[in-house]
Amino acid sequence: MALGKIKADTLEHSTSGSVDTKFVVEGSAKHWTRYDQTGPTIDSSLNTSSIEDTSTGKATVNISSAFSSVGAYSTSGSKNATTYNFTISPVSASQYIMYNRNDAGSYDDPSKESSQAVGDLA
Amino acid sequence: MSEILVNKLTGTSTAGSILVTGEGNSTTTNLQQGLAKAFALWNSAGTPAYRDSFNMGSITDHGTGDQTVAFTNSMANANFTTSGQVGNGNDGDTSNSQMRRGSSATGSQRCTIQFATSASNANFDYTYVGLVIHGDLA
Repeated sequence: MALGKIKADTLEHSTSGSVDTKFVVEGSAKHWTRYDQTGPTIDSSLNTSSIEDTSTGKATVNISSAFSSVGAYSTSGSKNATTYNFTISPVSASQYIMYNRNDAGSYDDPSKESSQAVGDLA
Repeated sequence: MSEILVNKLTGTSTAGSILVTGEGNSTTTNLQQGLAKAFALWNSAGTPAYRDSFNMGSITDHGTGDQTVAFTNSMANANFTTSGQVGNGNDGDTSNSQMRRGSSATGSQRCTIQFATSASNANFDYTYVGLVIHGDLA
């Protein structure tokens, strides 16, 4: 079956309303990953090339198709119950670092970590 | 301007895969993979109740600051991503609120919700608990 391309500004469902397609393009997550930082190993992902174990508690996440700039994407994430908190620091249009600390305030590698990003692709 | 009236979008080569051209007009992203598969905002105080939700079923209350939300349509596996934020909607609240990822299943996600100060942390029933799920639907 041949591939096709549709250009449209609005999608409308018969009963559930309509959506401007700019929300589809600009509002969809462009990257997400769920991984085990003790490896690290990627459990599942979208638009993720690799995750590096920079050091204990520090995971460098590399994005396959880059965002338009380091300031063009917003990140969020979560951790499993054995860790206390985390911060995400964008490094470039295709890379960010997650810093993880345990309940004692020390850097630690969680086994179930996830993050995602929305923003403008290059 | 153009408008498509449709109840279902399906890929031609692969039913569950449609590409969308990105903002830079060159790179593409996958429509299905990028969509949030579930979200919920609930009040965990008293009997937990949704304020708004999508693809969410029941809420199981395990105790203070400890709830499991069920998905209406299950995920393909438990390796979906989660993100969330909790609070009471108080602009002056200086405590450190947090939501931890508990056990995950294809049909549900358990969340442990806590507040923390410099002296202690404990489970707490916040009135606004937000959760967003990305990953693969079954």
